[in-house]
Amino acid sequence: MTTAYAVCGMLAVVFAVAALFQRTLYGAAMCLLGVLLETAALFVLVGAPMLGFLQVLVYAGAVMVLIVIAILSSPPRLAERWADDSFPRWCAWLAPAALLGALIACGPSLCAAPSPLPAAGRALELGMARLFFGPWALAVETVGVLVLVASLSVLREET
Amino acid sequence: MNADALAWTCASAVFAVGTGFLVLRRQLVAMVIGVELMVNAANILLVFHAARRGDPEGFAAALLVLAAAAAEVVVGLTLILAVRRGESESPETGHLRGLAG
Repeated sequence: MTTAYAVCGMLAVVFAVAALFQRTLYGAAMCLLGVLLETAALFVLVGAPMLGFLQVLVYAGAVMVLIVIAILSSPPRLAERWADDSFPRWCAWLAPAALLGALIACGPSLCAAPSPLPAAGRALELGMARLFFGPWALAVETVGVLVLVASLSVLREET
Repeated sequence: MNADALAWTCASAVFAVGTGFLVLRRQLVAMVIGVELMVNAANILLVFHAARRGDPEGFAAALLVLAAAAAEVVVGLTLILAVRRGESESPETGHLRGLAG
């Protein structure tokens, strides 16, 4: 299970670095989709399948659709101008260099002290549900109002 | 393999790439993508340590962060579309043209 976690985590990092190297925003958005799906897999692997499901539903579904619509809705003239030509390409290599440095720095910790993945289980999700309908109800309502207000911001002002 | 170090390595690398997106790219949508990467990295660690400690509050916080980040994306993309609409209607008055890349 830890190996699967390592593979998914490294894939998430690879997708993130690949997004940095993309010239077009559409390619970067597709790489972001890969990161989001791998994140959902990480959630499932630690025993939180509901969070993984919501990650796919909210992020990889709704948010990605919004981002792609925002990219595609730009006029062609603007889309050309928004293509990333001013980006210093060598700076993008800092990301894999930083990743390599992190791997070297964490290498002893990664290999020396084996520890299993945590397994959350159903009890934790039930505890989360109790929190939402109990002491955290005000926070949940606040976030709900925030999402509602955010969705109202999409409406175009006609006056 | 140490799962804690693994989670910290992956999350910090994704967070660093998100920061790179935010700093290096000048497009507004790319900045939103960078912020999303950073929020995801924070969520990875939050969920991992919530599972490690057996703490349902960590899961609940991760879910609230997810919802708040979705709202943030909606507002951000709406602002970006409004800016683009303003630029396409009157190109000479695009106030945020410098951020367009």
